Amino acid sequence: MIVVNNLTKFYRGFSSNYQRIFSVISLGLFSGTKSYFALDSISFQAKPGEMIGIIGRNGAGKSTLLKILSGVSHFDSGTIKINGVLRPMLELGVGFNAELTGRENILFNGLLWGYSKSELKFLENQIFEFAGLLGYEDQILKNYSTGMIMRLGFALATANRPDVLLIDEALAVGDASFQIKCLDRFKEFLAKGSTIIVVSHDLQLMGAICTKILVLEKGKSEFFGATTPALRKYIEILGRSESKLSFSEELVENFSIELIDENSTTRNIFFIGNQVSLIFKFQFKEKIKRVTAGFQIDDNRGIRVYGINTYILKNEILDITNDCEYKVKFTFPLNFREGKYSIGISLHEGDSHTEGCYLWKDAILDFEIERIDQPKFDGLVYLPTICEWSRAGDKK
Amino acid sequence: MQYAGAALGSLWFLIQGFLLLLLYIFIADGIAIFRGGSSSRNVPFIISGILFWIPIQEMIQKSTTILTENRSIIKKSGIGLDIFYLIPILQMLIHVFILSIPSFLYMILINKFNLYSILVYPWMVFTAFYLYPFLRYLSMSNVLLKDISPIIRLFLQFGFWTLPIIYFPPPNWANILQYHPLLPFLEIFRAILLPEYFIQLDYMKIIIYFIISYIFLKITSLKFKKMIPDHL
Repeated sequence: MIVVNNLTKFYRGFSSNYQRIFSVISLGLFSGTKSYFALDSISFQAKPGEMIGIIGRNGAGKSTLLKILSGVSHFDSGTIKINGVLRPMLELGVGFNAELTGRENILFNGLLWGYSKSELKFLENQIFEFAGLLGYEDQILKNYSTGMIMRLGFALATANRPDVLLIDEALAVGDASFQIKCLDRFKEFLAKGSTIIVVSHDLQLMGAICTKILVLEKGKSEFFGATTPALRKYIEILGRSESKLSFSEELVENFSIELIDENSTTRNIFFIGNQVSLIFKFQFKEKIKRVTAGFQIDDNRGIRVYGINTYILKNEILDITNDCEYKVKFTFPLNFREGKYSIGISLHEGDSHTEGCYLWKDAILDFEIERIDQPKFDGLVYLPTICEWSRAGDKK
Repeated sequence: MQYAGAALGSLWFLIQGFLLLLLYIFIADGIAIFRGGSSSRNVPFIISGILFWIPIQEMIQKSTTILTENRSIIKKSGIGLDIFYLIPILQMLIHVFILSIPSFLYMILINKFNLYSILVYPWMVFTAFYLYPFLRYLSMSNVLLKDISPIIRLFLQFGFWTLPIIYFPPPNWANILQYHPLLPFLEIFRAILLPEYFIQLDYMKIIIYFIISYIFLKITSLKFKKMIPDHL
């Protein structure tokens, strides 16, 4: 069990090297002029059998919180109560020596994880068996692949059940089958009464395995509770980020592009099925008779997911003048699978840019799609599907 | 662990110390003979000085970098900083033990060994206890200032030549050298090792040094200790 109450951490830093030197000379009595709250009155509670996820943007205070809980960093005020044996799993394979064998590394590194020598001797075979490294025990670690080291690190860190386990991103490592083994081990720990605190950017996994989620933003707790509202809150926080761009080109000036949600908020993270609008604003430097505005969406592998323009939509912009701003708005649902996408835009004549191009920009705007409410599905697109079934010949 | 994978393993530790001991004896004793002095009079004096200084020097150098070298383990394992401050001290004690073997053998050979000599081990523990706050301060300073090793090496050279390790200091220097913070510890070390070595011990000075050391520990524990993990 872990109870955190009003935990506050004040970070003090230096704005110049002279301040660092002065701090050393003053034996630390001067601790720098740069300061901010790394954590501000954080409170939460995790009971045995609960898995608490911590999410937040970079710099939100997730890792600071884990470091404080694990005893790496100090805190300024508040209380932390931890019942039982705590094991921080902040990085797998840390402290492994490439010149020692797997067996020797288990022995030396195991002490870092809080195992006793006799415990390690007893667990040795189980560790190698779980990691799928039986037969490699006496190979030196530099002959192991990165995946093998990660598996060995994970097997060692979780060889016996701690009361409280802190995990920083190392939730599931290795190939798909080993990842399932990792998750099964956590489930087994939870079933036996362990408390797990995990920091991860994998929202889907967090939503699937955590009991509750703590959302941090700039060192403050924005939400603590059930996973779905927590993930929604996080997406809302992410949505506050700017997803807007503007520039000028040879023929086009003051070009701007933004992706907005149904509430006209500029965002760069959405859920599957969200209705969004892509808005172009631009001015031409010359008079032009007809212009086609278009966009294309590519996934992170560069595969074109979708593309359309005003010409295909039979809505060409006609008689362009050079004295006013034009605005084009495309509204469409994001029925794509979760992942990272980029938007490219174009202003040209006719059906395609080959007929005369005024502006062409690939991957000009990035956005992400997350899955929360929708069922897991296969393929690139999500088609809201209704499924019904019946059985003929039922006795009435 | 430090010598894992090296062909001679931890034997390097012994060879390195032993060769250094021989080198200093060879140079210092050679100079003494060249000046018309006696060889046998010099060697036990030099051995005792080197046996004290080399492990202390290694300990100071190792302490300086102990936190930065183990940054990833400290930040990711949650085992805390305190255990790392003890590593250079432990290494120093092992170093003293290893170097003492050829030193004691030599003393037996020249018939100057006595059983009290083994008290140098607890005395070095006592010296490490006195130096601990300063060693910790060096480790922490290196985190903030990134790399102070070159300055420390310079200070160690200064410390080496201002202590009567391989030479008898000229009488006109004695007034200044008597305030060297390691001098009383070296003098007692020598007195333990060499039966006929005579010292006039100023107990008050040792007590004052210990008080300074304790105050140093307390002040650096106020804020310095707490801010170091954030800058590691």
